[in-house]
Amino acid sequence: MFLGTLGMLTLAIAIVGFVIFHQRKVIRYNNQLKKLEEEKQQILLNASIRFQEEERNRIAADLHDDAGPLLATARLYLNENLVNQEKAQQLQSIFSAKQILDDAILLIRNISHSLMPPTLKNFGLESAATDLFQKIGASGSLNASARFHDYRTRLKVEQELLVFRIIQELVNNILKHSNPGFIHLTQNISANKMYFRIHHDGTGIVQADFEKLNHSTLGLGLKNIASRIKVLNGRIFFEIDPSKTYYKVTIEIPREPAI
Amino acid sequence: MFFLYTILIAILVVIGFSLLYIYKSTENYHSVVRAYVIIEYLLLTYLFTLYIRNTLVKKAILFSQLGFLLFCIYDYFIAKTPGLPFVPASIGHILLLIFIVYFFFEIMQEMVVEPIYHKAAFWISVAFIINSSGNFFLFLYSKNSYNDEIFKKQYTIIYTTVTVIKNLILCISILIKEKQEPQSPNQLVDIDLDSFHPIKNKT
Repeated sequence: MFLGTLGMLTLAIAIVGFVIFHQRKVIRYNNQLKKLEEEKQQILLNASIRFQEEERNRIAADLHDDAGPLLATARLYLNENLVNQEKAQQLQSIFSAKQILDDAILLIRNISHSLMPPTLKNFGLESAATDLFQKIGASGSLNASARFHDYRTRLKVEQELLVFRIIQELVNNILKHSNPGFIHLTQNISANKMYFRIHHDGTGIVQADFEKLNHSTLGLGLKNIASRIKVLNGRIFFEIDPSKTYYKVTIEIPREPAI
Repeated sequence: MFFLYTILIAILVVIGFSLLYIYKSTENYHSVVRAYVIIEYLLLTYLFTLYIRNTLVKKAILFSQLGFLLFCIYDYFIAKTPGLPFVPASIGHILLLIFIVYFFFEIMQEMVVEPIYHKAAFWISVAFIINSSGNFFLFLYSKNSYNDEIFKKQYTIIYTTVTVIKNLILCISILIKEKQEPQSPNQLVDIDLDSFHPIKNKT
């Protein structure tokens, strides 16, 4: 009897020990995952900073290489000697300077538009996205369109800009890498969430590829998408349709209507 | 639930020992022990239905309660001389062991948020797995050897040791302060985002 009882007790303790051991192992594994996730966040942060720096460099280059020479040329036309010149020459110089200043204004406007699209600012995400897809469709090389099912309540301006940038980045990636025949955007709402889905029939990626690229040093654009999604407190899903004919990218974000 | 169990068991123990040592009524004491075995099994298995998530196993536990109750009544009526219910107690312990082991199995399948030993349910399970495994053979042997004086001494030593260990572990379970588990993220809802899909529109 003693042996039987001892055996049973040993077995019970072994089971309990095994459960604890297994759990500790799982916790260790989870901690490793957490560490990896933190590293991923660090990569995203670095990518975001790098992206900002690249954007600043681009704007600086645009201003330095284009706006700078234009304004310098205009200044040359409007130098002190202008008053000593003949009237016809004066008029010619002023006309040339005016033309150069117009070019500079246009250039600065383009830079400003690339920072904040005016359609988005004035008319909202629906108009900006529809405009973007119309422009792509107008090229004639592929079928592109956007439909917003329910966008009666606009998102906050910051949210709209982030979503627009994500859509822009996704569309850019699709156009650059996927070679699609069509690309479509749909929007809908459900409870307190808003959804955007892009369909395309090119070469796409699925969630596993997205996660993999996010953990690697490659794919700066995807990291920007991930960091923007994080700022939005949303989620993104990369899927392939069961029929394997097209890819879907779904963005889920919480609705924060503009006041 | 667990507190209900402890209160009921305490009341039954007080009644049982009062009958045995004050009123010297062995027959009534045996009846109280039978009630104790049934109530202990019913409450403990019900407690585990609260912990276990698999509905099939929950149903199995509820059926086992019914089966166990019927078996205890059957055992009471077929007993030639009224005595302690060693066979029902052994069966109760083995069933309880199975359910606790299943509960541990379920724990191992779950996503770990914090170590299991930070939960009261774990210490309750450990207490009863030790109690059931320690007393299982004891009750099996007791059916035939309980009247032997040497066996009775061994019985008292083993039973008391196991009960003390069980109670100490149950004390730990009471002292555990549990943290709230974070909500798991919702799945992507099924929403109409494909209605504008060109392929679907064509078909």
